[in-house]
Amino acid sequence: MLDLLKAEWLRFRALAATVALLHLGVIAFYGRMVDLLQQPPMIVQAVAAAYALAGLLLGLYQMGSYRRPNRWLNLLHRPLPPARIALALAGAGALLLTVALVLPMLIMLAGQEWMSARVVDVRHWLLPLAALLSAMAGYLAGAYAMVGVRRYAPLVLILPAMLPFSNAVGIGAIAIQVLVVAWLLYLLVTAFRPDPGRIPERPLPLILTALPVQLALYLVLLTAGDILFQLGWIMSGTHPLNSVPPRGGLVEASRAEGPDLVVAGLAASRSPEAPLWREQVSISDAFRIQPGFDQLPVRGELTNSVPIEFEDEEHQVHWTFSHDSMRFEGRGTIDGAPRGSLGLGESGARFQRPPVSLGEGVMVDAGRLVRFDPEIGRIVRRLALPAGETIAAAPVPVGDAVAILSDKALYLYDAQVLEEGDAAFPARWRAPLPGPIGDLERADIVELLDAHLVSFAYGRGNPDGAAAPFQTILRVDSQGRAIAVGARPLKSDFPLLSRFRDRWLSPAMNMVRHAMLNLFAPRTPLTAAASAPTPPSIWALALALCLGSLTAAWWWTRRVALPGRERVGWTLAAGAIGLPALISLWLFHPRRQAE
Amino acid sequence: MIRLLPSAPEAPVSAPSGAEFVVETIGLTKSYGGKTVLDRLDLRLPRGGIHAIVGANGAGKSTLFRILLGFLGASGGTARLLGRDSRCLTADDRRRVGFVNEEHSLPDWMKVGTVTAMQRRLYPAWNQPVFETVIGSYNVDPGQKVGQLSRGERAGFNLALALAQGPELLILDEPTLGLDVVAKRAFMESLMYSQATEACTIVYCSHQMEEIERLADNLIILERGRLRNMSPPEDFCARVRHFVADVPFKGPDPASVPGLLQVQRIDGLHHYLVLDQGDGFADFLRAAGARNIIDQPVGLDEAVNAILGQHHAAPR
Repeated sequence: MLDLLKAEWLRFRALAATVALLHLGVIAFYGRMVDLLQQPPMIVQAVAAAYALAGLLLGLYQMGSYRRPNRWLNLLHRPLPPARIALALAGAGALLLTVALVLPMLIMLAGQEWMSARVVDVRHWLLPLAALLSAMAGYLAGAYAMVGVRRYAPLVLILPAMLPFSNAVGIGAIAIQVLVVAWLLYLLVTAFRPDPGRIPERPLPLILTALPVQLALYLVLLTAGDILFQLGWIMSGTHPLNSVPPRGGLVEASRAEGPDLVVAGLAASRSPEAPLWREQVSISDAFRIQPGFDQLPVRGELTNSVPIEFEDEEHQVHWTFSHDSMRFEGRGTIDGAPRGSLGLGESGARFQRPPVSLGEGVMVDAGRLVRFDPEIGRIVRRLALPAGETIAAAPVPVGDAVAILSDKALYLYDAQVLEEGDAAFPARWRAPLPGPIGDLERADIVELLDAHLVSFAYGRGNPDGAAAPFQTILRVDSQGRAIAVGARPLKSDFPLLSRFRDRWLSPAMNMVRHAMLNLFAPRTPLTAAASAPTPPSIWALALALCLGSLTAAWWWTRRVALPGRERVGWTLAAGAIGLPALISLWLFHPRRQAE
Repeated sequence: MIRLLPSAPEAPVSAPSGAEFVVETIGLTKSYGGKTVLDRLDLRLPRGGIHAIVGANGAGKSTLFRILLGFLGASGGTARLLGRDSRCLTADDRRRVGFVNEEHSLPDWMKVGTVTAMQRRLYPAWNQPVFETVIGSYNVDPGQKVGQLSRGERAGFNLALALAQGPELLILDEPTLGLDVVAKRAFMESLMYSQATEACTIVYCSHQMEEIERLADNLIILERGRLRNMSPPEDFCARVRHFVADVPFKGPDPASVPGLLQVQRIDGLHHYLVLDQGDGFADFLRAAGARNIIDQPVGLDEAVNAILGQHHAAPR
C-alpha cells in the first residue's frame, strides 16, 4: 500500500512542486498588497473554490488515467484489497495537495507571524487544514466521479459544492468539511472494486451513495425549474421584478420612496389624524433603515464574516481585531511596525465577542455601540441597548438624530450620542418591532411636527417561502409612546408554486438540505424569522408527487426485476422523497439487471 | 489428458487451493445491449500445461478474461478461477494469478528497478532468479524509466514481473500484439525456457498461430462466444483435412459437401477443407465426378483459419 502511495507521489511530484512554487508566488505577491488573513468571505470562498477545483482536476486526471479497462485491471489485480489500493491513491492525492497548497500557506502564515506585525490568530493556523479539506473534497468527488458508476457518480459533486453554503463557522466548519471528506472517501473506497459498473448492494453504501445523488437531483430540479419559470415570466413581460410592480405588493413596497410607502400604509388608517399625516408625510423626508448584517462574528471563526479592522488615519495606525487577545492590534500603516493593543475603555478591557466594524472607528459589540476616539486613542462606549438585544444595522442619521435598529426595536437617539454617549443623550424613543428581524424588509422614519411616524415593511425572503408580507405604521410621540396607527397586508407578488417550490418538490429533501446547511451552525438572533406554515394546497401537491413517485417506482422496480427487499426499499424511498428518489432509481437501475 | 467435459454440478465457493480446474465456466453468458458476446460457455481448464485460446476478433476472449478476473459481471452462468467464484476473488487469489495483456500497462514514470522492488515486496513468493533469467534476455537497465523502454522491452519486463510472482495461473492476453519479429521471438523464448512456467498453468490468448503451435498443449477455439474446439493442437489438425480434387465444371453444391469448412477453386482445381471427414470424403468427391484427388496435410494456421472463417461474414 505504501509502495503504491510512493508510486503516485513519484508520478505527480514534479507537478506538485511546480504548483507549490506558483502558489507561493501568488500568495507572496498578494500578501505584499493586502492582509490575506483579513479578507472578506467572498474572497476566501473564491480561494477555497480554487483549491477544490485543483483537487477536482487532480482526482479526475489521476483516476481517469486508471479508468481505462486494461489499466484498471492492472491497478486492481494485485494481492491487495481494493479498499487499500483506494486509500493508497487517495493518500497520495492528499500528500500532493498538501505539498501544492498547504505548504505555501504554512510558509505565508509563518512569515506573517514572525516577520510582520499583522495579526495571526490560532484560528488562522486552521486555514491550511480547511484548504486541504476543501481540496480533498474536490479531489475525492472527482475521483469518485471517474471511478463510480458513470450514470450518477458525478452528481456527488454536490457535497463539496454545498460546503460554501454551510452556516457552520470555525471548528464547526472544519467538522463539516471532515464529514464531507469522510463521506466521499467512503464512497470512493466502496466504488473501488474490479467491476466498478456494479451499484452498491449493501444497504449502508447504497444509502450513502443514493442520498447525495438525490440531493443533487433535487437541487438541479429546483434550480432549473425556477430558472425556467422566471425566464418565462420575464419573457411574458409581467414579472414583478422586471416590470412595473403590482400595486400593494411586496416588490412595490421594497422599491417605493419612503413617503409614498408611509402614505400607502396610512391609507386604511382609522385615526382621525391620518389625512393630516398623509399630507405632512408627502412633503417630508423619510429615512430608510434596513438590517445591515445577518451574522455576528463568532470567536474562532476561520474567516471574517464581517469586517473587524479600521484605520486611525490621524496616527497612521491600522487596527485589526485579534480573536486570541480579543483586542485590536495596531500596526503602523507606513512602517508596518507594531503599535500595541487596543481594548475597551480606559482599562483596555477585552471584548466579550468580536465586534462588527462599521467604518470610521464605529463598532457594534452585540448590544453595544462603541467608537474609537482618535484624540484619546481609546475605544469608548457610546450606547448600550437593554440586555439581550443585538444591534442589527449601522446607525442611520435622521435629521439631527440617529436611528439604531436592533433585533427587537428601533431606537432614536440624538446624533450627539455618537460623540458623547447615551449617558448624556439617552434614547428619545424606542419603537418595538412588530415582527421578527429576519423578516424585516425596511423601516422608514418620517418626522412630524410633534411625533414620528415609523413604517415597518415585512416580507424579506417571502419570494422563497418566508412568512406573509405586511406593513405596520407606528406613531411615536415625544414621550416615547408607540401606537399602531396603520396596517395593511402586502401582496406576495409571487405565486404559491414558486414560493414553496422547495417544499412541494420534496419536503424530505428540503429538510435534509436545511439540516445539512445548518449543521454545527451557531444561533444568531439576527436571522430570527416567523415560521411560514406550508399551505394545504402545497402539501396536497407534495403528497401527490410522492404517491406518484411511489407508484412509478413500484412499477419500475418490477420491470427491472429488482429483488424483493431492494424493491421495497426503493419504492418506500420514492414515496418518502418523491421525484428525486424516482429519478435516482432510474439512474441506479436503468434496465433489467440480467442484460 | 485434456478433453471437453460435460456439465458438472457447481463446485463449492470456498475450495480454491486444491481446485481441479484453474478455469471453470458453466453456461457463462455476457450480453452488451442486444449483442451476445459469450453464449452459454461451458469451459473447464485443468491444472498444468499451456492452454491457448484463439478466436476471431469479438469472439469473447478478452470478455472471458475480464469476467474470470472479476472485472466484469456476467449476464448469466457462473465463472470460477482457481475454484473461487470470480465475483469473490480475494487478494490472496489475485496473488496466485498473473496477468499480462497486450498493453503492458506499467507505470511509465517509474524506474525499472523501483517497479521491480515494489513487486518484490508485494509478492511473498517472488522468485528473483526467474526474474533475472527473463529480464536477462532484454537490454533493460534498472535505472531506466519504464516509459523509455521499447515495446518489446516492456513486454519482456512485464513477463519477467509476472513470472517472478510465482503464479499458479498465468493469463497472457495477446502479449505479443504489436511486437516486431525479433521482440516476438525473444518473448516466446523467455516464456518457453523459463523454469517458472513449469510450475504454473498458462492460459495464452493469441492470433499468432506459430506461437500457438510452439507453445500450446491444449487448443481452445472460441467462436461467437461459444466453445468450438478443445483438444491438443495436433488432434485438432488431424480433424481438418485438405482435399485437392480435379472436379469438372462447378463441382458439387457446397451445401451438400459434408463437414465443409472452406472451398476454393485455384488453377482449375477444387480445394476442400473439411472437418471430421475420413477417407470416405474422397469417395464423395469421386461420386461427384472428381478424377484426381490429393489429401494434403493441414497446418494449424490453415486449420484454425478455416474453422474461424466458416461462419465469418464476407463481402458478397
